[in-house]
Amino acid sequence: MHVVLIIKKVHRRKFITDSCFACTAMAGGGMLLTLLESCNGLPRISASKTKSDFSFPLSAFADKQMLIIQRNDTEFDALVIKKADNTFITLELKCSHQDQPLTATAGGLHCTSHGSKFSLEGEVLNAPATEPLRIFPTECINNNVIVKFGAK
Amino acid sequence: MLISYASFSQIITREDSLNAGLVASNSRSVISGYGEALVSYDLRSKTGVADLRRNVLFFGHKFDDKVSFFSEMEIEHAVVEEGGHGELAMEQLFLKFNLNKKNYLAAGLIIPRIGIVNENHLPTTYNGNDRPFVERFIIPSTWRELGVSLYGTSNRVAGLNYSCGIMNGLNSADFASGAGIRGGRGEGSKASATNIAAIGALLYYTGNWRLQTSAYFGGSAGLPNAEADTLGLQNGTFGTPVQMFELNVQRLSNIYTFKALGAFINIPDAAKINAAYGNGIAQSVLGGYVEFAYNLMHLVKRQDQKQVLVFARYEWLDLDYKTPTGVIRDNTLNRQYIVTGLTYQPTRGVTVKADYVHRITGKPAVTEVDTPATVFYSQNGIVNIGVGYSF
Repeated sequence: MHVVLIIKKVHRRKFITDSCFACTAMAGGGMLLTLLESCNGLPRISASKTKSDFSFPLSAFADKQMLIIQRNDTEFDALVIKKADNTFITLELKCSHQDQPLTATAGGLHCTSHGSKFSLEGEVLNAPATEPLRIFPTECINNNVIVKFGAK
Repeated sequence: MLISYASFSQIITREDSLNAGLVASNSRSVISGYGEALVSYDLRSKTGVADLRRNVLFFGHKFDDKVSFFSEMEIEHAVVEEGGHGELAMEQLFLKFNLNKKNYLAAGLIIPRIGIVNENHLPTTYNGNDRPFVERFIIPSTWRELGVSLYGTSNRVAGLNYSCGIMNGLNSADFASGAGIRGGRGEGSKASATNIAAIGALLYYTGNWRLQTSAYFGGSAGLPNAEADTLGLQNGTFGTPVQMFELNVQRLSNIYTFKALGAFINIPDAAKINAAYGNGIAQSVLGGYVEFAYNLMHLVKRQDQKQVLVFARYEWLDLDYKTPTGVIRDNTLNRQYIVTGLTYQPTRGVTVKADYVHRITGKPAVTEVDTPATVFYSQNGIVNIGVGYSF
């Protein structure tokens, strides 16, 4: 990227000081946010190999209806939803618009970049996304939830 | 599909990228775009204007799982020529560096997370042919500057997202009365980096609600010492500051949507800027809007991609909310807009829009309307019909 920046005569020390202040403020803001992270979110399971079938105990849901699989071998995590009829659906947390990560809530899945919203079935509820989310077949056998990440 | 495979490169369609998964590839490029065209009819002057307002080409490339490239190149008003209305510009261009699953950095020509439309400006995402006026006159959408910004999602607070960053500051020499800070944007074109700005936003999703607040603080006088002294302005990184605060709330569903936004700009040294450049700007600007939209297709229980949204939006903004010493308040800059209409979505990614805009302004001083040539109407109506797309 070719960027032309015009830096005219200015107190160099003041510029550096102010820039450092801005960076420190940014870092401080991030630390503050971390400190504020006191509420519990969705249960999570870390997985190192998710290119094929991946299983985890049903009890991992605890009292929640949704669970996030942190996929360490791919860019995007997956959301497993336990439905009222005791069936399961797993959605890739990747916006189908411009491949941004999604934020999951009980009301749906949201893309922070352009505002797309998806249902908990993976269907588009709000533009600009036009395509549904990728769904992985999921079933529960003997209290083990199996997500078939490798299914075509 | 609108995009096809090219044998000489790895250009893929969105559907292909979705099915194949960009994750699986080490080198993929994606193109897409959006645009809008409309015809507007002014009921007061009985004149109409037809305009291909914009066509934007998106091009992205994924180097690997950690680094991606995003760009949008925009042509406004169809023809770019000297003295014409058209403009060719980069609307954004940045490299995205994934730090981990929850955080990434964007560096380059970035669009700060301020307001609703600035970041989400595709014509398929807002009602009416015009973007909300508050997000044009106060938040100068589409506002982009050169900088670096961190975007992240909280691990522990479900639904909480944050962003913060720094970017080049504004140029107060180009601020104008009635146009807010819009003229002072750098837009990546030899912008002054002598003065910079800090930006930050918190975004929280809960259920069907989306809550966001953001702030901007930046210098607007990137001048050498001698010139700053001559003009009586405080130069330096955050000299002659501009402060902006914004708060918005949305309820999103496929049945009805609700949006509300408030924005405020404060320029403490507005009097000094006016003394230096004679641009007559306000010290503070304030505005907001509320919008409600209902999907009529819900009444007929249709569960397909078609949508017919009926909407109404009320906007108020005062571009002379507080004037500094030496500036006479201009009541015509105290405006209200009532916008109502229909947004028809025959399929996802396409909208056909029809709306009516009723504008109400304060009345100017008597001396300003003493000749027929300068007759001022404090109320006016405009009918817009247009189409938009995003793919």
